[in-house]
Amino acid sequence: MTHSSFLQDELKITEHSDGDQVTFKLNGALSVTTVPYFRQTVQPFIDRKHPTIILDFEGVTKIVSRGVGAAIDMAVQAKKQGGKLRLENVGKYGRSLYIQGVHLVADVPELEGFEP
Amino acid sequence: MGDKSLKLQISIPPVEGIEDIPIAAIEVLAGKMGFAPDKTQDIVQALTEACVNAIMYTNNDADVEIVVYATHDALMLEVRDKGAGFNPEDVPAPDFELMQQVGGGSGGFGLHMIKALVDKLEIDSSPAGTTIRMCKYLQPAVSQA
Repeated sequence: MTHSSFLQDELKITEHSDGDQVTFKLNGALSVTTVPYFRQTVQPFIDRKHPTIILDFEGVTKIVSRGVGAAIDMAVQAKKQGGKLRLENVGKYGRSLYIQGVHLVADVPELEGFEP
Repeated sequence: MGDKSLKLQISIPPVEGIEDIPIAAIEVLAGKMGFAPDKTQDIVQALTEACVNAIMYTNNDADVEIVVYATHDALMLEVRDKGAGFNPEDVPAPDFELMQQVGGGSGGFGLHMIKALVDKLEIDSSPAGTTIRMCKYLQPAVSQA
C-alpha cells in the first residue's frame, strides 16, 4: 500500500475543560490514519480517570469501523475506572455507531430509543 | 434510458484517503436516483468500509476497482482488489458481550457494518483478490417480492 501525505485523512482535535468535564471537538476523519492521534490525545484523560469525557462529532467528516473501535476501547476503559464517555452531535453517523454497539459502552443521547 | 442500467467504473491506486473521491461521486449518484439521505449515508458508509479494507489489504500497487451499476430501483456496487484474499467465514461475528468487557480492538466490525447497511452482500475472495458486491434497493420490500 502506498501513502501520499496530501491525500491522507486529517483530524484536528480541540480540547475544552470545564470542571469535571472535558470536551474534545473532532474535526475531520476518524479513520485508520487518524486513530493513533485520536488515541494519543484522549487517552491521557482516561488514564487520569477524568469523570466525564465528551467527544463532539459535529465536525466529523468520515468514520470507519476502526476509528469507532478506538472510541469503544476508550469508553470501556473509562467505564471500568468509574468515568464515562459521551458522544454528542453524532448526526448522520448515528446508525453506523449503533450497528457497532457504541451505545452499549458510551452515553450517546441521540441513540436513546433509536430504531435501526 | 428506461430499464437499462448505467455502469460506472473507477480505478484508484491503493492510497489511503483517495477513496473519498469515488465515494463522493457515488453519493451524488445515490441522491440523483432518489435515495433518502439516511439510505445514501448507508451506501457511503458501506462503500467507505469496503474501500478502506481493499486499500489496507492490497499488498501490491494494483489499483482498487470500484464498479457501480445503477438501475431504476437499485444501486449495485463492487469493490475489487488484488490482495491476498481472505475467508469471510474466518471473520467472526462481533461479540457485543465481549466488546463491553474488552473494547473494540478485536475487529471484525467492518464486515458486520457493511452487512447491516446494505440489502444484499456477496464476497468472492481468493489468493488472486477479493470482490465485495453490495446492493441497495430504493424500495427494499417491493424489489424483493
